[in-house]
Amino acid sequence: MSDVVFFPIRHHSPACAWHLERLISERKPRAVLIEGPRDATALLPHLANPATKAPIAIYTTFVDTTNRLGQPKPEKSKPARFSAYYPMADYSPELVAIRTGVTAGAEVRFIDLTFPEMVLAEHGQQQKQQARSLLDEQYLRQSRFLKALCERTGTRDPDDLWDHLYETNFQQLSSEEFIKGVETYCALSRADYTTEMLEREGNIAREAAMAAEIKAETERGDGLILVVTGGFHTPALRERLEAARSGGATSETVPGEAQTLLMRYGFVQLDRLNGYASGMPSPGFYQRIWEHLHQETATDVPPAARTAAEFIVELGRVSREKAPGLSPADEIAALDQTRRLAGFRQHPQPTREDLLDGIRSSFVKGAADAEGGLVLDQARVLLAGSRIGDLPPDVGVAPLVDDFRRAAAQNGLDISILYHKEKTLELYKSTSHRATSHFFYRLDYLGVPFGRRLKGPDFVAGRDLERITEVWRFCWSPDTESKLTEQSLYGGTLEEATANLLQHGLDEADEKGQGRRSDVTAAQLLHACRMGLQRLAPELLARTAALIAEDASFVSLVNTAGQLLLLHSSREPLEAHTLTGLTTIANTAYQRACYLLPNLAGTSEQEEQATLDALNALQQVALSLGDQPNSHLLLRTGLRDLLDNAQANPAIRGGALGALHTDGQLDDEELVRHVSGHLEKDGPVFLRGLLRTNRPCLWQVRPLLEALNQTVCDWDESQFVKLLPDLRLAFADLTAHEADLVARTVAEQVGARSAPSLMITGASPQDLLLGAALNQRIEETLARDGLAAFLEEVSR
Amino acid sequence: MSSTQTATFLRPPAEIVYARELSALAANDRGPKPTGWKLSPRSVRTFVVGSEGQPLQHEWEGKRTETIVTRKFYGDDVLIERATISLAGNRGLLLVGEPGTAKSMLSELMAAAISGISTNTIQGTAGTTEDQIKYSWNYALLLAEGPSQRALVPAPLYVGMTQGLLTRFEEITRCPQEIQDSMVSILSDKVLMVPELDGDARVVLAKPGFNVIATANIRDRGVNEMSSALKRRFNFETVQPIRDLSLEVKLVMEQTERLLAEANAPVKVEREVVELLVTTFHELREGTTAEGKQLERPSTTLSTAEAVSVGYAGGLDAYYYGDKELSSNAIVRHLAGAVIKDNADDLKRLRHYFDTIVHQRGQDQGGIWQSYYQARKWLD
Repeated sequence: MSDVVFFPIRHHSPACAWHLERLISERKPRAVLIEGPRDATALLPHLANPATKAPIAIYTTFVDTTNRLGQPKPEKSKPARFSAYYPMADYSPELVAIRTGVTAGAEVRFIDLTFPEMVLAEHGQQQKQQARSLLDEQYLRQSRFLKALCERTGTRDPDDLWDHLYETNFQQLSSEEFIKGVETYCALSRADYTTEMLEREGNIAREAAMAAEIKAETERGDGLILVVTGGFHTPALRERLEAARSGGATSETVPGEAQTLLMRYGFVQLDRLNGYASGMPSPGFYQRIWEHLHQETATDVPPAARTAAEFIVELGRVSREKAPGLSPADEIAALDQTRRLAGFRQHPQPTREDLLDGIRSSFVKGAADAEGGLVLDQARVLLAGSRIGDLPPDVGVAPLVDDFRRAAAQNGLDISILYHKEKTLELYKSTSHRATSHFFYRLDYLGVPFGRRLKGPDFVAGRDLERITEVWRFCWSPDTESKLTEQSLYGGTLEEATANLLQHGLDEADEKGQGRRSDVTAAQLLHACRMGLQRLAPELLARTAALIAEDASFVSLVNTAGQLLLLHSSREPLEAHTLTGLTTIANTAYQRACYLLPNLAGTSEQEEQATLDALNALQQVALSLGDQPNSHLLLRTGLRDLLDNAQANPAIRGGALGALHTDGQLDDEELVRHVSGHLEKDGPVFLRGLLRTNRPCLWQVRPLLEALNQTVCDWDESQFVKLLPDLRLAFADLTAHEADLVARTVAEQVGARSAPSLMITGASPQDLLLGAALNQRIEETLARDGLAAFLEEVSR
Repeated sequence: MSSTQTATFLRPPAEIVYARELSALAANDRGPKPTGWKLSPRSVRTFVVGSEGQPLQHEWEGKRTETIVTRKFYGDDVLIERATISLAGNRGLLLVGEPGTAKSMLSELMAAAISGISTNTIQGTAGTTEDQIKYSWNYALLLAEGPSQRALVPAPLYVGMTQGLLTRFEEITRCPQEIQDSMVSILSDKVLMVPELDGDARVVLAKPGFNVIATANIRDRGVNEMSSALKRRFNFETVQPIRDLSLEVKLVMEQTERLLAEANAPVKVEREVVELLVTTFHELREGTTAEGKQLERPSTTLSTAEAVSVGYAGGLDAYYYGDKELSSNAIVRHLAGAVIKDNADDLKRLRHYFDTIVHQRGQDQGGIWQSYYQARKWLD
């Protein structure tokens, strides 16, 4: 029989790591068994490789393709997906155990359940899709015992409490004393747990599996076995080991269901304050302590005291760069305060909170929520650090990364150099160029930092459609592959991952209640074709068609019709030849949009702009759909209804008028009559709507401009000044050339020989309004004093 | 001084009120003390935040006895640690925060614990002069004898420096900036020059134990800017209003009862009545109700201290004109006075609070909320 030593740890604790390192080097165990997914044991050579630079993470995923969780409504296309991280820094006890263990010649293994087994043991209660940390120490944050202990010791939270108890005096303790302390701490915080809670969170199953592994190891011969697990499990393992039967239960995984691999990780993600739950905040701070603990040159200053001094000086520098004010005297005061606070709290060396308190006391000059917030934010960023890990090239990669590399090579894209390159693609001529375009768009859709489109048609947004080539700028960076690893949850190839993510996006829109909008689905259809996922197109089209029938949004329907027609006209570069029924479905959307036209009467002010744009687009759609007299009639009747509705939003009525005139359904005379009438009643708002849908009428219909000019001239000065902002907005869409054209026509009409320059420089619109008002006052004053004649003389 | 003397002053200072607790702490103090301090930093902390029910053994008025140190400050305990340690260093301590967040009380408690005396205080106003801070002269003696030690009238800063005491400076930002700045070199060099005197008396060197604890409102009306030079010589601590409702209820209740007892007006104070008062203050201050409804905040700061004064006034009202029990009626009668300071619209806001929130709660929960709403007539 062999000896078993249990080493309880808190994840990401430098003190635990330091004692663990010492214990392994001194006692040279035969085997080191570590809490971690068993299937990650294969990755150990890479983890122990000196070329591996922390922080790194084991990334593991599980896709429940065979519905082993027994979900009530299994759909073949939508299996439940789970993923998790197991992040490690240089000072993480697990990584230290691996590195030291391998150096000491011990057999090192992970002994916990694999991730799929863990998910099954939890009965799939964890959140799907969202990645979590396997080192989440939730029990520490929830424990009532620890809360009471915090109150008693005057510490803020369990993190502070841990530092207070274990991270300051660990160098003075023997490993036995230290282990005993940690185990007591963790055991007491486990006391709140009931058996049901342990069962529900999968702890019972995990501990049974770990105990069985340990038992099996003890039967393999003599010598010391070191078991490194979270302190939460240690007491249970000790108890279970007696009763455990050797040989862990193994369950087979279906190929393609699960993967476990290594990826680079960053301190920013590791810092829990940034939103990830993974044990300890401020990894930069603890990393520095860890480095000082291993410094060759002996100094009397404890590692944390040196770290605190360094960070205070760095923070002083950083904050001086942003805003001058803090002097070295403040840095001295902050360090002094930190040391004396540590002394007061009986810490042999300062903790993270001692340091932050020193900064709070000495760097903040004002209220805590104003000036204090800035300084502390800077401090938090500095303490979090920005280090990113690195992996040697021979580490296996996710199938998705592999597929990316293969596809990049196939498309002739060089990813071995780290600077930007450009690639021009002939979309209409070359099939292979289209395939390259699909590749870029797939990466873009997955959110992978790689390529950026500089030029080319944007079929989803409907811009620059006249272009026939695409230009991409691309550059490989380590982040490219990190993000790909993360997205490997969705599939092993780019094709599969994008298809699943697209599906996921639609499901999510459904959940958010946006699933009723047909244009969301139509946009995904364009995305799919752009990414070469034409196999999904029929389903997406059918889905769009089904949604049109119940879509109540005019804007959405017009968008949908436009997008479908765009796909139809661009079927060559988008490879959508085989997709049938595009125009028929677009026509359905168009008809339904026409049917909804009278409802636009109640358009709110916020929706005005979008609705007017849609009115414009609707005319385009009508033209693209071609000669179908029936459907044109539908549009005209709808617009007429809208125009004749006296209660309708005036801007929309203006828009309807413009549309009808463009269509030739109204003669110029009628147009002028409507405009003059509405200007009286609604002011420039109506005009704005009109010009939005029909700008050319302004210079094509001469009587319109005359009437407009007349109305404006009839306004008195104060009315004009009041309406001027709205009037400006109405004309805002005119291009420079059009504005010039209109100005010249008006100048002719009023009998001026040339139009005055319209450019007024050096004054803001407010200045001009003020000037106009002032001018009017002066004129009034002069008139009152009987000096009006003087003015006429001047203006002549 | 013994505790029996308490009743002879309108408001005795902390070192008299808590003389017994201070003696208990001193008798049990084993921590290291900075030179010139009466208690160790640890005991100072215990004095302010309490001994968590632990009795301390000591001798008091000739007898062995046990004393529990009560909690006097409700809020961030870590702030007390930082403040205490700041005072032991070479920078002054400046407590900032909104009105009524117990800054002055905290300064008084710390002075009482550290120096045993909290009355060495400069009371800052717009009219404070330099001689009220440093020293002035007995002009009769000055004319008769010329400048001499005998003719010098020491002001709090002089006293603090010569005797090694904590000097309190209340409302420092109410003083004009040039007066505030007379502290700058004293705080850094710990030296006060008296140019009128000759020889050794010209230079006053501070004794260990001297430091300055100042309080200031930064956002209140009628305050002056502080120069960066002076800011550099202080460590800032922000005292926040109490965020926890039940804690605030407890505090207001304790304080109201204590004040009423001191005023010899024994009135029954029910927790639920105090809860009404504190809830009103809390919700108006935060701008949201417990149900999450948004309220318009009054422009006056509705501090805990203000709630205590309403409770106290209501209690006196009940004692002299009522049935010796603090009622919701008495609270409302004094509520308007606390809320309206310089903006008549605040009364409208208070009325609106009653018409919507209190009225609704009266209908939903009945009982005390209903009688609270019935007292709304006093707000018209």
